[in-house]
Amino acid sequence: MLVSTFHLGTIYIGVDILLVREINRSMEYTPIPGAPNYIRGMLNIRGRIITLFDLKKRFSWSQEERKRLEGTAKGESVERKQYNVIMKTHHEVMRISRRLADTQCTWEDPVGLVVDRLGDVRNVSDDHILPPPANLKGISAPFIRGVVRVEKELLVILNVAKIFGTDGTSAEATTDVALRAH
Amino acid sequence: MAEEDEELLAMFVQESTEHLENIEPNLLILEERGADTDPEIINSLFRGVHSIKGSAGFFGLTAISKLSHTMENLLGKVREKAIEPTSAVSDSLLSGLDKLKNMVQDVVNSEAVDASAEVAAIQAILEQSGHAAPAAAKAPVPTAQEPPPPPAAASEVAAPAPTAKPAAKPRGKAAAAAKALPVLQDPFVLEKYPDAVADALREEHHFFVVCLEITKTGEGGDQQINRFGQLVESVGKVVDIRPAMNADGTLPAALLQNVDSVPVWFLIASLLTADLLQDLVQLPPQAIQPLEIPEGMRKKSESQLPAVTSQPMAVVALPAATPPPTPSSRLLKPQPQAAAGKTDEKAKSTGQPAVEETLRVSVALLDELINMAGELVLTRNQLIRATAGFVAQSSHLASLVQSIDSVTSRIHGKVMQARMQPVNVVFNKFPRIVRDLAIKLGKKIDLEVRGGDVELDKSVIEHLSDPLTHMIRNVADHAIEIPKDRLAAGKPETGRVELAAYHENGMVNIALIDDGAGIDSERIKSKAIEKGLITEARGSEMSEEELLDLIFAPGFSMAKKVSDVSGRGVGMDVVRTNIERLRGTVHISSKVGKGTRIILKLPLTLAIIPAMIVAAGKLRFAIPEIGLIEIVRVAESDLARQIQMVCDAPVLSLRHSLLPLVDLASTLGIEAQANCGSDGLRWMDRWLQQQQADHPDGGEAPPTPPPQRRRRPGQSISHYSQAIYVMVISVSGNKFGLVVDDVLDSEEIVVKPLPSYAKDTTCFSAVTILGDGSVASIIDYSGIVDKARINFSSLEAATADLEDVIRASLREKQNIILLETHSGLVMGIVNNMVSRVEIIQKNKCRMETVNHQSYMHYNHVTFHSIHPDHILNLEGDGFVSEPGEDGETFCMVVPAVSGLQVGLVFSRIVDTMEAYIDLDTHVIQADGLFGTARIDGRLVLFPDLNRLFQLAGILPAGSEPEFDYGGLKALVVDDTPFLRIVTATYLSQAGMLVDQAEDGMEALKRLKTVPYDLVVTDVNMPVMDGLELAKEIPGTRNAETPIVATTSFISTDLVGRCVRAGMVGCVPSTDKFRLLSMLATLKRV
Repeated sequence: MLVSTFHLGTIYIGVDILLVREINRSMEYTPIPGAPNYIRGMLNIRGRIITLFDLKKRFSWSQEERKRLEGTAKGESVERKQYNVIMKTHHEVMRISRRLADTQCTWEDPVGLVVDRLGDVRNVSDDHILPPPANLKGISAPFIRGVVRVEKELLVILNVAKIFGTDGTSAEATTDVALRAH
Repeated sequence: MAEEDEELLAMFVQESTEHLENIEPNLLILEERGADTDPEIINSLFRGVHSIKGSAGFFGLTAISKLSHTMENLLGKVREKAIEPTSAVSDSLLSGLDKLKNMVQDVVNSEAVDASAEVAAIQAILEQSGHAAPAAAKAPVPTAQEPPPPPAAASEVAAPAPTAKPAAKPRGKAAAAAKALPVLQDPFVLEKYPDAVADALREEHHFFVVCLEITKTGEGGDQQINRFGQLVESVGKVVDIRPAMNADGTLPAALLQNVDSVPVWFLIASLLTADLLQDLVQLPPQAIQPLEIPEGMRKKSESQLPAVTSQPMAVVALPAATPPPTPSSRLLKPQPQAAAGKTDEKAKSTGQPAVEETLRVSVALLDELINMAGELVLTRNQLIRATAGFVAQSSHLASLVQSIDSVTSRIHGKVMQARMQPVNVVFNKFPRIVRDLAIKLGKKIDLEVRGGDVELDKSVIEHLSDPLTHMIRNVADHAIEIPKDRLAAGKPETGRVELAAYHENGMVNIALIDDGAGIDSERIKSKAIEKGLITEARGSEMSEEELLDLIFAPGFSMAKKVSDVSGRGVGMDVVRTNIERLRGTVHISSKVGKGTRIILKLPLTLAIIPAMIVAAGKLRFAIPEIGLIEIVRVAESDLARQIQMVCDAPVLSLRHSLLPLVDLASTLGIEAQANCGSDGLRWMDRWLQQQQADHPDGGEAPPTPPPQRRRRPGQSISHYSQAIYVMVISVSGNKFGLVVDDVLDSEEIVVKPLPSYAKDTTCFSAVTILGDGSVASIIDYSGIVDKARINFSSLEAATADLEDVIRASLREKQNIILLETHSGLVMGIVNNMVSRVEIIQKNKCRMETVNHQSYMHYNHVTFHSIHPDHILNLEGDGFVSEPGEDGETFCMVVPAVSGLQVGLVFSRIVDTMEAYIDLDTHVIQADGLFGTARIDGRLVLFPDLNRLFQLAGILPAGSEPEFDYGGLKALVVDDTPFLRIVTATYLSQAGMLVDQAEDGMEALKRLKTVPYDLVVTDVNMPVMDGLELAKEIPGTRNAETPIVATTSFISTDLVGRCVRAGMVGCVPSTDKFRLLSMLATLKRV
């Protein structure tokens, strides 16, 4: 499995490359008043309206956690240097693999994730993917598909459907889980 | 395989539905015109039903096939004029059509549908006509032929005599597989029928030789031949028959002698193919043989030459060597047949508009195309901007950009067009609905549909059906009277309903016009009052249009009795809701006895709408222009004056009504990021600030004059030119004001669906992409109303509170002079009570006291001088000093009381101003004092000048009309408390008992219960003014009571209007003398 990898603060994360449509530098977005706080806003990419998810808020990072996990990066100035990882939709993944679309790409809307930095594309063998260790900081278990050791780092492969709240459980319930995890 | 079947079946449903849609209007035409119906219409009916039957047979849908077959038979009879198309015929066909529709809609379960009633009804009609057919042959004639098998033994079809009862022997033979058919000794030769061939070539008919076996048993052979002939006539014509018939069309008597059956050969020219023909006549395949038209004849005919030929004759001999089709092929065959039949139909169809070549495209694909076209437009715009600098250097680039520009526009236009559908899609079903309703209700209604080809976006069309259907039903049920009533009203018996679609101002109007009874707005009013939808007072204020609009109020129904057609009080409100959801509007107008006109205004498409782009906080939003009534700009400096708080909710007073305000930014919770003025305040804060600045003491401060433009340090002038914008929006007839920070632009925006993650917010209906490529949400009015918790249904109750505010906002301001007495008191005198004010230098006047009265000589005139504070026995805490002794000047106020040379002495003028006077009669009570008021934080005394002069003993007796009004009861109506108190004081001084009312409505309530001897009313008042009040009074128990008007601005015109309204006259407010003089004239009368 090829995995697109990114950095979120000091955390090394990745998603199945088949789910990724494109990656853009952060650009102007339009906030949606009244939407959950982890929805950063809407983005127009060639006529498609993308809903952007702020991963740090999705993982309910507290102020303190942000400081710790963002490491040397300085607070708010980070936003401009971030990247938007635009995901494929269920419909698009369906053309590649019906199984993949049904199990992992369950969202119909065009959506995107905000990450701090881009990493390489890694080839990860399914056999090497392990369940997340209990003491993993920053991301609660439901959002994780598994972890894999890549060189000296621990790569967290995200359960993207959970992040987008389309895995059958409601977004609210997920947030609760995330909160309790901290 | 199964999937293919499903696909084919879906296609069948689609095709059949199309056929059924075409059949219905034609059936209605058949019903209307009866025997005069254009044969082409009957043909098309026949073809439609036939196609359905054919396809149904292919799928083994026997129930559909059977019903359509029966209908087809009847239509066939109608076509050959064997059966008169009476209403019974069209009724039975229509009910058959309905059943057929149901079956096709739910095709999977169609086999289980019981259509026997419909089939039986049609069969009954067929049989009746069958009995009317010529009687059986009298004398059967024997032939030498072997008895043939019975024709179409197991057929349910009516035509080839299902009751035929062949002998046992032939039946056994029929069962044999290799059944030999009789041979025609003298075959048909087409060359002998040049005319028929020419006709056939022109009409694309094919020739067939059909062998029909006539049995002498059972029904008569003639009848059999007759029926067969009729059957064939429905699809073509019989060219010749062998053996030759008698002249009257009966079988030669000799033929059936001594034999059970005899074969009869028909030469038929028909549009149908062999398979279809076989299907129609229900004969074994081998009994039908196609006969090719000889090549020579074809050519001759094409070259328009007479049909004479030396070509070898085409000969057909029966039975030919053609192998009989295998039984299993029967089910498979109809497919190409149906296709062939369809092509023929299309080619032949002239009654229907020519069928254009079309392609089914999924809506999803279209939407995707529209999206991309929209994106193309945006990119084009950016391209033009980006290349603007280079175009001048390269003409090649210029032309490229130009052609990209024009092609993009065209693509966008065409793609949008692809979603458009003619309104006929909806309109087509109404003739039927109206017909059914008319029959049911015993009315005669003629529906005229126009503009069916006007196109609307598919999504608009889809949502138009329900509201329009409801409106049409309402018209048929309520508007159109029964024929008897119509005749009595001098109208034609048949009601006319017109349904028309047309373009206007870039929108599509759909008008529904009837010539029925019209809507009585008075009846609506009483009904609405009865149902508590409006108050009686409100009802009397409402215009005709507003009253008619009540029809759309929830829970309103005009029907006298509830019928299953309409009258349950649900519907018209749903109609409006639905139309508004389509971003359209509904207008209604009506004349009693003449008819009603309802006009729906709809946008062409929902995909592109005109909208205002506004800013709230840092964000931009789109506000659809539909529902937006106006935009009011309120300068920030005017906030306090134009906006008031009612129960902590801001309202804007706009043209004498109050508009609840909703702040967009705070409703959406984006206040924190708001882009505010230089002081970081939003308008609400600034409003509060202004309020506090005007009333430093805080508390419940009454509305005050606009504050002076006190420039605070650090604030620029331009800051004051800042303003908020109030978008006045109407939702379901209720208005509210949406406050935005700025209005940026008016744009045609492309509507895109809201991301599902934003759906919970309810404040947005969709999103759009603005010209610069950024995303903006489109505001959903009702969502905003919900979020802001405006409850319009309790508006009636709220209005009561609000009226107080209106009152406050409308209260007349008084021009007053503030003067300070020598004892330090501040007194206020209303300008129009003052003749003049003079500043007098003390050394230029001479004071004298005669008989305890002070006189002042100034400028050669002697004035009676009065110190008001002395007269009132009120002393301020300042020192008392005599004029002339202290200071340089003093001032003298000469009151406007005629015939008096009086001067009121004050030490100085404090201010002149325009202010609301909130008179308090309790703080200081003194004879000669109206009361006190707090103005600019100061306590101001308002003296009653007339009384003052009386107290001073200087009012000459008889200068004021003195009558004894003791015991008389007067009502003083004035919205301005000060003036009300002034007038009331005057009257009570004259001895009257005085009641007070704040406005006409309140006065009217009192007048209805309490008898008065006099009414004195202000002319200008909120809610109900003096003139209206005067018109209402004759309806109360005070019909005879004289009414006197008071006004601040008297004019001859106004006096005239007052008199016309039934008043005695009009006097200036505060003018006691003229008021009492007026009363004196009354007294005398």
